[in-house]
Amino acid sequence: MNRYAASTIAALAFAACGGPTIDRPDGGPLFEIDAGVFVPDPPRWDVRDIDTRTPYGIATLRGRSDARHVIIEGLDNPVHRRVLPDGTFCIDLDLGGPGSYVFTAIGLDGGERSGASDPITIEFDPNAPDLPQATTCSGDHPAACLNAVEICGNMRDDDCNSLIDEEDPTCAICTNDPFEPNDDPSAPQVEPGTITDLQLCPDDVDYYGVFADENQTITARILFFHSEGNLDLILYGPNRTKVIAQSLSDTNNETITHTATQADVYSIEVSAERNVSNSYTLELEVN
Amino acid sequence: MTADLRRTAILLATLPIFACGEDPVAPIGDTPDVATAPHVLALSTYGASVGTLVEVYGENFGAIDGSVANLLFEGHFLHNDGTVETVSSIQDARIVDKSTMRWTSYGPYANPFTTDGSGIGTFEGTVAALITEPDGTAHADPQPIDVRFDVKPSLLVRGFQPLTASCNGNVLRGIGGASYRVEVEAIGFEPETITYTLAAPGILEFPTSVRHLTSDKIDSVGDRGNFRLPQVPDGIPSYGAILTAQARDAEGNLYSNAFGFTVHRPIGVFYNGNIEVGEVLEPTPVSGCIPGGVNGRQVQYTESQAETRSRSYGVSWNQSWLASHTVASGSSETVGLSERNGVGFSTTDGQSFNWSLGGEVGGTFGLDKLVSLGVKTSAEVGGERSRQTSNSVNRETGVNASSTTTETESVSQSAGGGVGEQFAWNVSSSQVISQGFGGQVIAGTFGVFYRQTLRLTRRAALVAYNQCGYATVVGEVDFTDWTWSPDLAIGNSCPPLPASNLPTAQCYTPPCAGQ
Repeated sequence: MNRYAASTIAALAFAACGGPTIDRPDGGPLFEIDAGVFVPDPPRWDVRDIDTRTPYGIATLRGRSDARHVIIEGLDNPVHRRVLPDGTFCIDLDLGGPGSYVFTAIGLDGGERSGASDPITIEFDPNAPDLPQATTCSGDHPAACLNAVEICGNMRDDDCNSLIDEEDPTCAICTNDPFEPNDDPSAPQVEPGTITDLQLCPDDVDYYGVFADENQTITARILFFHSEGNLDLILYGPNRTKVIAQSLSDTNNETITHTATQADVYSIEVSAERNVSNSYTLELEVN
Repeated sequence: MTADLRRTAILLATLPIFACGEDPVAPIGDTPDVATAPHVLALSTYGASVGTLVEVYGENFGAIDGSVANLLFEGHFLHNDGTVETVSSIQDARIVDKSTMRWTSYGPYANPFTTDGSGIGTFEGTVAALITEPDGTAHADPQPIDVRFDVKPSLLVRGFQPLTASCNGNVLRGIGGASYRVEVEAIGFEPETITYTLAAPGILEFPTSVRHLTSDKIDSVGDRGNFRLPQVPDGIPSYGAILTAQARDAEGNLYSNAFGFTVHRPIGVFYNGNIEVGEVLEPTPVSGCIPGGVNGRQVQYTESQAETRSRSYGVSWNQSWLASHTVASGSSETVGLSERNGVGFSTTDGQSFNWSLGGEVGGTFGLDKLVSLGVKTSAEVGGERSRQTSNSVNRETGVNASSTTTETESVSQSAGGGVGEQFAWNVSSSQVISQGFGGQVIAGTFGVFYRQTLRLTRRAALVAYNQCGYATVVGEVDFTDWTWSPDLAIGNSCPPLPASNLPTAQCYTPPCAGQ
């Protein structure tokens, strides 16, 4: 039904029964049409874009709705999706196992729900023919992550483990330490003490925040073998841009010391020439 | 005929049946009105770590300001170790719009489905909505829906309180300037690192972030005083902060728990928006006789002389609290700190305060600024002050409403209200009365503009927070404000001046003018 049809009809009925009307200057009645309550229409499936028989465990349902939300029923739990501004929606549903699934959708807007859509049946049959043109809502093939391997250097998460290229152990030529990511001066603080088995990978910079009260002395030391790759050590002030201490020797190990002039977080940088990689230990004292 | 038209036709056909008769819907016993009852249709997710914001979608969630929303879970929780416990739980939620709620209490401290707040597993049962209006009228969901909800491996916040406190439970609010200790526990996974981040949008230029390597399931941060909430800046009554704990396991999986809370000074003025008319003064003519002439005339409000009044406030302290919590400034002792989880105050004049949590943590504030902030103002204040006592019944409503919430978005957006509002300690009728006020003086009649002065009282509470964020009302603030009503009186002759349409003088809260 037209979204405001019901309220218009109600307003007409109200006026016809002697409800207040406003007289127009020409003497005719002027009905004030209440904007009323918007009741959405039932969603409609884009049937041509839905594979109703699939060898994959994912059902991708597409459709249209004049509501802001759609609720899909047919699995254990009802599932919600927001409708896009162009009135379309798409949802990938993990099917529990082979079988036949019947889905319906309702629209939801302003606290009002629509009636149910026509049902649509999806059959999950692992022996069904492949669907090379099938896509999920993200545009990937439904089987994209099945038996997939990471392809290094394409800036994509090919094996769907949320790790891209060198972040993925498959591609890593240098294994990052657990303090990553700490690649900029906003990196988290570390507590004073000794942290071993740290790793600076090629083209990497490691940062560590350190908190010191006013007049406390920060002493930072990195231990490494120069022969395996030179590392440098810099301390930045609380604004994270001004260098307040640095140690840039071409020997083993670097040490810096600074007395804090205000209680704040200071930033330690460990860096190296481009393409240099080395492991190191960070010793940090604040007292 | 299309379906739309068909339905329209059916509706039209049914109109005569009820259009002019009595209400066709008659109440049947206690059967809830399904058409208007709240009803849950779906959750945004059915599997999440504790501390994740979960949205709830459904019908008739209401739009009445002040309505309280809850979610009722009934069923059982199947722990991953195979044990089962019965669930009957009422959870806090917040209405976003008529279709959307946010489950604000899925964390940060506990798994809400288990009695000890721990464990991971699956809830199986029903969820229903319950909306309670401000007058106490409750609307229950007549058709709870079946759900399965997986509580995934999580990072529970086991403790969050100032270093100098030993709160019985977790804090309700933060105290600006205090250093905090946070303790978390990993359930269902082995953490390799845990990163704690404290953000205060608009207050902190850089979030405070600390990362720990850990092989234990329980970890804490802040023992060195390095997890400190910034002081509440001048010009705002409070601000919102967000604490996030994020763990990573050896496989790179991330587990997060985030919650928001408000950060206050140890004393604040709590004003819930109430306003009372204390006095209505006699209407005063502010123009001469305005003839309508032969054709009548349109006139705009003008006043020959503006009236200016001073806003003021009076404070009535709880004398026993004042005596037991403050000492003269300059004394080596700051009373109140010795109290369990207390905050120490010192003052010499009841206006300027120093406070401390012992050691180096502390701050200062002035009562004038607190009052101006409390009534949503930010300008410098001055003028008359008094220490008279006044009565009120509603000033404390909502004092303890704040709590931690997983709905971090709203905390960061809502806190700090009142910034930028204009305030002057003197207020004038020329500022208050709209320049657009006017009217028609009919032909052959005379008009006169009148102005009526109203004295208003805003009743606020002076609230002290202990280190755990619990509020105690320690005084009352009566803020006196002024406003004016304009009127255009019409008469057949002038003089004498036509009588005003405004009401005569009334005294609601003495002392009044002339008394």
